Amino acid sequence: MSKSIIERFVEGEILPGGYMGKFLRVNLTDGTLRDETLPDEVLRNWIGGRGLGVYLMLKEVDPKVDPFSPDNKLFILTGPLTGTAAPESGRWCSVTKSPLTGTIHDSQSGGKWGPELKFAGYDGIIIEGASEKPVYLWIHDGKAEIRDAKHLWGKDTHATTDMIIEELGDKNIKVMCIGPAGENLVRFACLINDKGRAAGRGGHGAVMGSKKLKAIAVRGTMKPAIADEDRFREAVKVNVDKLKKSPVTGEALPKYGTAVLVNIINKHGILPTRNFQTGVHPTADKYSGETIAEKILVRRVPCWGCIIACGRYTKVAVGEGDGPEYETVWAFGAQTGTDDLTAICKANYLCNELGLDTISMGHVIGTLMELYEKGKVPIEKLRGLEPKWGNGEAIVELTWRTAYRSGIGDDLAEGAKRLAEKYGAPEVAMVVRGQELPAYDPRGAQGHGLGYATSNRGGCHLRAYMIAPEVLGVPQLVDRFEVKGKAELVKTFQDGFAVIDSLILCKFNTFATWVEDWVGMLAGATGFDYSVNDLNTIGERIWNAERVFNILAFGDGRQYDTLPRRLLVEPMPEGPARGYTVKLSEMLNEYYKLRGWIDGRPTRAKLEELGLKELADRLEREGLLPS
Amino acid sequence: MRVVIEFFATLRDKYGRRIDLNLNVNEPVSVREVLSHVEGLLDEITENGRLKEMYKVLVNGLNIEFLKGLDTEVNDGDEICVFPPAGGG
Repeated sequence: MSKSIIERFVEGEILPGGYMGKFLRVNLTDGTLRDETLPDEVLRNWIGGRGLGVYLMLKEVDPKVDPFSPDNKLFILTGPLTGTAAPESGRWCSVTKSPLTGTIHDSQSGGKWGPELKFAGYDGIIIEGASEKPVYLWIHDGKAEIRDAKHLWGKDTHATTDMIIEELGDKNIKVMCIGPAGENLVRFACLINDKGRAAGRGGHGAVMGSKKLKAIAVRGTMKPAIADEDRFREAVKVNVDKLKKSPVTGEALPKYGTAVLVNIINKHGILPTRNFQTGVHPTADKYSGETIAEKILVRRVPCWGCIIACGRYTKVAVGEGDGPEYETVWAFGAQTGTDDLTAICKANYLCNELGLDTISMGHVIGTLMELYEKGKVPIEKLRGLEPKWGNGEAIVELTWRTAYRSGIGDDLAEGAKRLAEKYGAPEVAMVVRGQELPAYDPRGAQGHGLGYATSNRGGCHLRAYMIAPEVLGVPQLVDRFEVKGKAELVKTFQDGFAVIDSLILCKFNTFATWVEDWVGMLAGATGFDYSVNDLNTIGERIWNAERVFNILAFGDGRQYDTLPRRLLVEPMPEGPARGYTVKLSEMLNEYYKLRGWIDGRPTRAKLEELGLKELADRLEREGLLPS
Repeated sequence: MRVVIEFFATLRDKYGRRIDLNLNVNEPVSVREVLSHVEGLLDEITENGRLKEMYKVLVNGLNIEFLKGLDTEVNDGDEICVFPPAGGG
């Protein structure tokens, strides 16, 4: 039985600040709950959030596990900065093996739920096994219990949240839950918290559904202690000042939300349109951040502890809710050839309620539309629906059918890769490691293409957000059509973002601050004496450990560090990026050199340098260590 | 010479969405020259003769930073886009 914070404090132990000092292990098979601590050394070397997640995955989960098996685990984690005065610290994450990609997968979310978990006394929750009957978890002020969820199973995320709050009798309870999509094991079902924030990508909702865990409700009045108040306060002030002064975080993002990107990306000719067949959508302004602010915005919504407030709450004729974000309006907009803002919003609200990743959902509809255009889809499966480019009603209908695996929805629920393969046109799937590519065409942003290709969790724009330097000019502008120097930028972003996903802070900090600004907050909060170099090393360690998990899981390596054929051999047909393909291999070779990898796999030397000798040994035992 | 200038985000409040310019010239002009036809614009987006940080000016979708900056040539039918600093995800 591990000691509580109070016991350790009374016994004179110097505790790391920032952390609440305990994790909750939930075994859903036998219904047991246990408080656990982790050694300070582990916290020091992996921080929290995503970093801690990869440490725990490698320690406790067989990389070859079936993601829907009770032996897969779901790690729900905060970081030491979550719920403190650090700016944009209202975040949490989920780490698991994804049923969409088969990779290790972390998914980050905002809102209010993350800090509340810490206020309830816990740094994280380790969910293992599977329940026979639907249950939910209730965590409050250091105590936890498993409760019956029979009455909640089948309900959407909004009804679930309302019913739990009513049942437990406290309107300040925060709820994270799955909707019907997660219950039905849709491979890109997500976790929804606070009704409209999402740990969106990779199907974590399906993993939770496979465990028959419907929701996690949290409420607390505790607070993380800060080890060195002065140092922490000083560092927070520096970060807040930079955020306020930045024109990105101080003006455009608050006013127009993330969809301010629609016109920027479209005018650069890299807004993926009709499943990446082109990069220009002439009527995109109809669903831009400017149009949303002008026509349908009800109010801005900040996450906990956020001074930017980029979130949207919107209302259209047929519904209202949180969002839509940039990725969402792209996925249901240009990706499907639609410009109907009402339909786009309705699909977005549905995804929040049914518990679906908006990026994958919209993207997969686009995949279906191309398959349909090519005559690959049996008409009887569509039951009267016509998935033609630009058909707004079809987008909404297909979202419903996917959540419930109804007819063609059952095929969409498997993701773009499996859908395209089933209907005999695998080249139509615009995926990396099985995850659907998001809202930027890399033929007009070469470094971003390298970021997509090398992402450990599949097609993702947030492992290395190269759009910042290549398009937005943050921290400074680089030539988006050039390949030289891109590998170094990608590595720097990947490592830095691994750090911020572990602290955990919102990535929009990075428009104004970077690792050297965060180190004071982390060192001040925890009392661990971190240097900038330490943090950079941790970022690199996390990235390498994730890659090792994937290598052990399915032999990850060079052949997976690639892009869909369309982006490599079909030149962009029109617009400012016309004529370009992604010149991947040149960037990739430079990338491997910088990473100390051979053909996409870390060498023993690199792993030992990062303190990961046992991982090198593990790879060697399975004949997977490059020599 | 016909040139279109489009504005985005906070710049729309001041300058509207789009200006269609009809310039009485036959040879190419510079971006700086074209933008000077919009009252107050150059004062807002430039400093010491250069574009302010993170402001973006595109000519037919190409950032002028990689062409000739504000001296970049503009031809008949070209589309200029002006963006203030912005970001997202």
